[in-house]
Amino acid sequence: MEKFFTDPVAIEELEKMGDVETLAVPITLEALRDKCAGDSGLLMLVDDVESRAFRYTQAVIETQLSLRRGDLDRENMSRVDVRNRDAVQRRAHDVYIDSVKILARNLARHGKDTNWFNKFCPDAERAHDTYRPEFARFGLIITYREVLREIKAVKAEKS
Amino acid sequence: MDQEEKNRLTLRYAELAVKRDRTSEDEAEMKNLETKLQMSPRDIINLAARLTIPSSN
Repeated sequence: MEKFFTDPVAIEELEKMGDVETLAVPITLEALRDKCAGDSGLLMLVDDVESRAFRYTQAVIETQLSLRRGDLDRENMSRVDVRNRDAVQRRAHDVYIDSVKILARNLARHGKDTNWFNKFCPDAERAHDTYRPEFARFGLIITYREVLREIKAVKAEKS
Repeated sequence: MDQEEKNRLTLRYAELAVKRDRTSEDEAEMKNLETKLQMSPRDIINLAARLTIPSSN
């Protein structure tokens, strides 16, 4: 499991970094869509990344809520229950990471720039799976940014 | 409201915000949570991000 900001000291650390719109990511969804402009197949793969990042974010939130509601008491849960609970989030994470890799592979096949993907995995010798926290950050940040974009759009519509 | 309750309500709001098939009941609950938390949607999402984004170190 990734290390999450759950204690006040860690939350302060993130506050110092600014809000979710200013956190650094290897690439934004908008920039990915720009790279794929005019190719509906590639654009569908970007949509896949977005929807799977959303699903992964949902799984993370569900876990965090369960922990806070006290219905995920790891100390007193059976090992099977803990494993099953973790498996939901892990599977969502795996599926989302796969969607990012598939997109990068297809962009490379079309001769498009994939330097952004190397920023996830700067050490080619290390297996991609060791970069799970970096992928997690990206998925969560792009999801929250999309949510904020939707909120802004609704506000603009109302005003 | 203590910080833990605030965090829990924030996560509930985020849970609804990332749903792609939100119902009118979900929307009403989100409005209710905004009132309870006395925070803007933007601030709530930012707090949710702080509670869920893994540390980079």
